[in-house]
Amino acid sequence: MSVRGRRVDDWMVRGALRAFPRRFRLSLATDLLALCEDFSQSGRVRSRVVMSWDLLRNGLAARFDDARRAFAGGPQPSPSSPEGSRGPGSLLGDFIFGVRILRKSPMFTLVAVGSLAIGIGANTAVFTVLDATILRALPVQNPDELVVLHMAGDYEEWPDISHNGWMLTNDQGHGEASSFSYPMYERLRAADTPLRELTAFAELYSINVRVGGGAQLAGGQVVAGNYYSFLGLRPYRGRLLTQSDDRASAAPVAVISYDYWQTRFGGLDSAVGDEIFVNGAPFTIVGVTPPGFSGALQLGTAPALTLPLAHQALVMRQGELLDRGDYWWLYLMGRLRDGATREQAQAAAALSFAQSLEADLGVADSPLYVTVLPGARGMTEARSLIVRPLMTVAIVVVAVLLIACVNLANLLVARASSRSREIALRLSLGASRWRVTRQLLSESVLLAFVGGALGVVFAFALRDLLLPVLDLRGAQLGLTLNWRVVAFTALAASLTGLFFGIVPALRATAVDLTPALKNEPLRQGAGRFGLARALLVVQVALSLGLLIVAGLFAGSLAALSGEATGFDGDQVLTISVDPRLSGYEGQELVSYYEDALIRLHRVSGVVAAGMAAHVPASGSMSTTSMRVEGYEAVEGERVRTFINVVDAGFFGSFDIAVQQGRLFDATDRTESALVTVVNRELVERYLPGTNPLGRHIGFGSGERAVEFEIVGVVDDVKYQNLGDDPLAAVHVLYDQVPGGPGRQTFTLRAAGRPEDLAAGARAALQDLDSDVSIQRIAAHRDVLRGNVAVARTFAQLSIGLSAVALLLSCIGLYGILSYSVAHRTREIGVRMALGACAGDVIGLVMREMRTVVVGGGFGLLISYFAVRGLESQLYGLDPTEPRIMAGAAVLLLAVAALAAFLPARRAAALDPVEALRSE
Amino acid sequence: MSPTETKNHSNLKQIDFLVLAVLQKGPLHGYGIVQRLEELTEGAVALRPGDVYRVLYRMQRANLLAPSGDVETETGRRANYAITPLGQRILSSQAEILAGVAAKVLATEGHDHVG
Repeated sequence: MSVRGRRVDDWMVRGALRAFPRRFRLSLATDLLALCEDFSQSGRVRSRVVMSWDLLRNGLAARFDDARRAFAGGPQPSPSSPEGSRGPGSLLGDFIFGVRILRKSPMFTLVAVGSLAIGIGANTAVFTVLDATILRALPVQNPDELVVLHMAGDYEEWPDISHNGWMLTNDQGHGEASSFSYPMYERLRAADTPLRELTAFAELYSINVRVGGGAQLAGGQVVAGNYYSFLGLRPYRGRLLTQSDDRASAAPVAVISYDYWQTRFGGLDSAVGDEIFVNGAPFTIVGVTPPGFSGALQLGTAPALTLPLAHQALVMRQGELLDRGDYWWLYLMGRLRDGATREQAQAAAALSFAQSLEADLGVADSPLYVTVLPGARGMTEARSLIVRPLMTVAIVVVAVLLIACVNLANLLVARASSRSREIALRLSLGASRWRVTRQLLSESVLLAFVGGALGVVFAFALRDLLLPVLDLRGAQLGLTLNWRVVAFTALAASLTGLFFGIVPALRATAVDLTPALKNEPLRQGAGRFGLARALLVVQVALSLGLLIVAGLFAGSLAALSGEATGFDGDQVLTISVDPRLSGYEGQELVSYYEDALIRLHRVSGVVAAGMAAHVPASGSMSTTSMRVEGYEAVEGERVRTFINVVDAGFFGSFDIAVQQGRLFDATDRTESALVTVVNRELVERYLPGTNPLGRHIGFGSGERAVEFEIVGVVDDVKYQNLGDDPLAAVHVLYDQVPGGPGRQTFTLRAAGRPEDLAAGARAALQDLDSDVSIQRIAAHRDVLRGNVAVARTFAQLSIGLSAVALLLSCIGLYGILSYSVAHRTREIGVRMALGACAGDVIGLVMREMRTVVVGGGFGLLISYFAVRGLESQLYGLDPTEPRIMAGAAVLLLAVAALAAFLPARRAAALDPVEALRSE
Repeated sequence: MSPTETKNHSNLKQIDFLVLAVLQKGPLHGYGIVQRLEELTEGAVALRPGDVYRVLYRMQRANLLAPSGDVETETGRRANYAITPLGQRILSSQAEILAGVAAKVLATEGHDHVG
């Protein structure tokens, strides 16, 4: 280039030149450099940086032109107007232009994208959780044929059995239990019912598994021999259990889950054939189940190890259960024959059930009945606890998405009206209506997509908030963001954009060109704001509904938190152990607990130490039938009580005060008189108006009958959920309880933070016997939190979401009023010229609040009926509580008034002369 | 002009139109185009170096103008650009359309006050 002119050897300019397409550089680079030289010479461009930037920008743009031409496939590129078709029918061009337009109004874009992101994100998160917990069927053959058997009946009618499983109250107010005895399973299986096959299984809650040298706790289950063939599952490695493994004479074998195989055995094929020790008994691994299959147990339970029922006595401390008709512990799952219904199965099962009750327990004409429920998703109880709250949240997030969409539509309508002049100009210059509509549409689809993408990010955060609540049962749910859900919301996002883009777009392009071009006020403005107002009414009504829901959850949570619990566990650390898994039994077990308590007392920072089989508010409990001296049971009435096995220090550790008599003390020993401390509910229910002290409570019958003397009465302590009514309760000492103690939880009260005791306590227990593993160590307030976590999380979620909804509605109102003020500038000017004062103008604009009031009215009306569905989820609150309804309405009006006041004040501050000139 | 041409060029960019207008009186080199454009529009349109050649590149690809030899200037040899017959036809037809529109716009402005 030195031939043609002076050298432009500035590296920056040359570098920037590289941005142009190669073809361009080959033909024009020298000329361009010369031109730069000319510009510099003439003093037009002083800075190389400015020039380089200019080149860089244009170079990239030229590349982009080329790329688009190649994309559009047009061999003969044509010059075009900025908004024109860049290459015939180029959607890309529309989108590029859309990006530019959106960048020009960042506030609009931010609000629109933000509201969609929240709406879409919340939906993605909630529906991911919903899908994983409630909707998804078991990964087995024909899951729709599966049914689960329950038995149900009035609580008073229960036979004298030990039930190990779930018991919930059903719609008829009856207790509905999940488990059956083994003899009953055999009888039901042999009976001729519409069930093609019936299988049985039970969870082994915590088992000690030794592989090679190391012992670890794992979850497990015992299953009937037909379990895997029943489910139609194929092995991933080795083989699965068969009928021949489920015989007492068969060698003890085990199947492991894919996850356990990966984590414990490193996914090695050699794992099949390994010998492991389960609670001390040897088993041989014969196979691995496929990934993704985690059994048919309760939600969140994924057994690592599956053993045959025939060998249950080797691993279960309860001993031999297969011949016991009074021990109900097996989940039953059946497969319906083709065309058979659950009702038929229920009727057929009832007969064998009644026979079994009579044969095994001697109970004739029992009003207990069998229910047959859908089993496609496995056991239902844990799931049923979260269905209602989760459904409520699902409805709330759908409402939020709806509000976000309405808000977007509102903003688009308002914007379209403010852009009517631009649109009219384009139409008058020859752009077709379809062309302009497409441009407007592409803008809203663009918004929806960006909103959707951000929504996915938001969904991850929200999912992480939801998961801990759903994982209360300890096991991992293993939830990854579901891509079907992501696809669903992406579709929802683009449909949102298309649908809510189309109405404003069609309206915007249906302008009368002449007045629009002449800058006259648009006549159809009123109609357009009519649509905007209708949208605002919907939005306000929905927002108020959400505010009321949030208010109800918050009120419920407050009532729950303020509930008298009868204990103070804020400073308590809980440590659960089960030394029986390491071989302790009888007197050795009692000595273990005795020694452990002595050692734990000495841990520095411990103010009080105790232990209990069940700690307050943990939701865990056992019940037993009893006889109360001085109480005559009505014919057929079963007197049952909650029974807790504790030590003398337990009450002190939770600061549970004695109401009457005394608590346990050092004089109560194994060999001394059997004593019990009962709660007030027991006294009020069975011994009202008498002195309970000195009376006796009896358990068991025949040779096993024992009598405990009541020595004290304590306040009612909530052992289950905080919202439940108190139950009659007895406390007995671990060294006096017939059959000895079982799994116990130490309760250590700290002077300061309970967590600080953990290290010392762990060391003390390790020191005593390192073979006894600690099953759980947690501050009691976290145990308690688990109990109210569902209530708390759903309250927080709905409060957060309704705050967002309220914000969106206010933005919508603000937007409409701002555009309306801009439109009515001339009118306002005339009014002010004619003597209207600032107050009048503010009043004029604030009159738009009528729309909010109408929306609020609708919202109240709809909510009044809709919130009744929440009744079962609220504690201590009526769903139509007037204070909450009124409070929500007032809050909504106040915030909306603020949103309306800002544009009103702006209108009032207008200079009448300027306003008159404005159009 | 064929109907296809009309359709393709009815949305001709304003800057393309102006460059064609400048070249109507004869071939020019890059900097010359910039200067003449400023004269023609009374300083309303000022191109920067990057803009000039990007426009020229595009118009060249659209067959609206073509290189036409070199010219010696004060600062050295420069490549000249000339309008093509296609460019000339499009320039004329666009000028007619825009003249009509401009007249109407100006007439409207006479009645209304633009704020």
